[in-house]
Amino acid sequence: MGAYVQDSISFKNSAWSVIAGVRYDYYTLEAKNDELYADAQLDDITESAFSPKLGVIYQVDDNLSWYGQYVRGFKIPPHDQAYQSHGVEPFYQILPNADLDPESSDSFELGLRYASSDISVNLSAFYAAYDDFIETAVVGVEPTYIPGVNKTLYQYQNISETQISGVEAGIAMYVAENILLEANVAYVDGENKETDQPLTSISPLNGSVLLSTELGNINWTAAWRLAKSQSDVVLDTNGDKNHPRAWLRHS
Amino acid sequence: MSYSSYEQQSDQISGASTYTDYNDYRFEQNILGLKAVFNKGLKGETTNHEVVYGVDVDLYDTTRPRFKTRVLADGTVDFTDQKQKHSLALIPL
Repeated sequence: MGAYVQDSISFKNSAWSVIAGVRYDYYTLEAKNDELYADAQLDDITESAFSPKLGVIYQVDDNLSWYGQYVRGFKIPPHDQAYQSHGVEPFYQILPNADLDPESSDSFELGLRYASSDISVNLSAFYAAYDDFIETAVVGVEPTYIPGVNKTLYQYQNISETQISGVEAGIAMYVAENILLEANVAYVDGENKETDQPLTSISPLNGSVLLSTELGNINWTAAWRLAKSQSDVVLDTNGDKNHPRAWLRHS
Repeated sequence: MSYSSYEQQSDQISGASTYTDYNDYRFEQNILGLKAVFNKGLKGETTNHEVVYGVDVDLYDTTRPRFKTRVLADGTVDFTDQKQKHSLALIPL
């Protein structure tokens, strides 16, 4: 359940405007009883949070504006991350986590927007500090009946402190009559502050290019999505790169 | 106000020379949702306010059963509708 209120305030004879809001979230997860999974260590979870937001916009002229905002974020763990208990024998098993907490974040963003009838451009830089960021963790391995193949045990777990920062740029423009080009690129860096290791669930550099047009009543779109592979990975105690899907390798 | 019901079923057969496994995998979800959004414009002497407020209520009822039935090569039913194997001995990394 969520309840929210937001006020967009503009000042007469001023280029400044303010957006202020607050949201209250309450959620409860109740595990169903099932004889087959009596030993699965599922538990009921109840959480609530207040999430404020404050933004400031400076309108330079009719087309160009600067903005800055602070947002408190709150994300509940999806039911399958807290409760799922399954795997594919003999390769992996996902264990439930009854202690999984919601993610919360404090994020700051500075940006520039330009919009006219033909073109719009967005540039922004952001920094977010997360409490209890949810990421997959390897909690164990065990040998299987197949020689050289180990079974990996995964669980969704909270990382107490993480930081994610990045820059994003986007453009949308008509390159010809009735042909719209949209392109976005983002560079993101994530860091686990518990271990000072990178977050491997974050794609460091990604982008997309989209061309769309309307012929008759049909809208045609061609999309090209790009992501640089994650080379900034977690190092093990020997300083070697740790491969998360180690069960694919034959040791 | 919205209501949706979703059901997905996947039956799989696998096995070895001595047995055949019948996997019954399902995903069942009912969602009941209520959204109310209001807005109000207020004009003051020096400021204008556009206020948006609302409430979201969502109820999810989700079940994801994964049953396994094993029939041995001679036709004997070894077990019916058992859960997927659990790990008994963890070896910490």
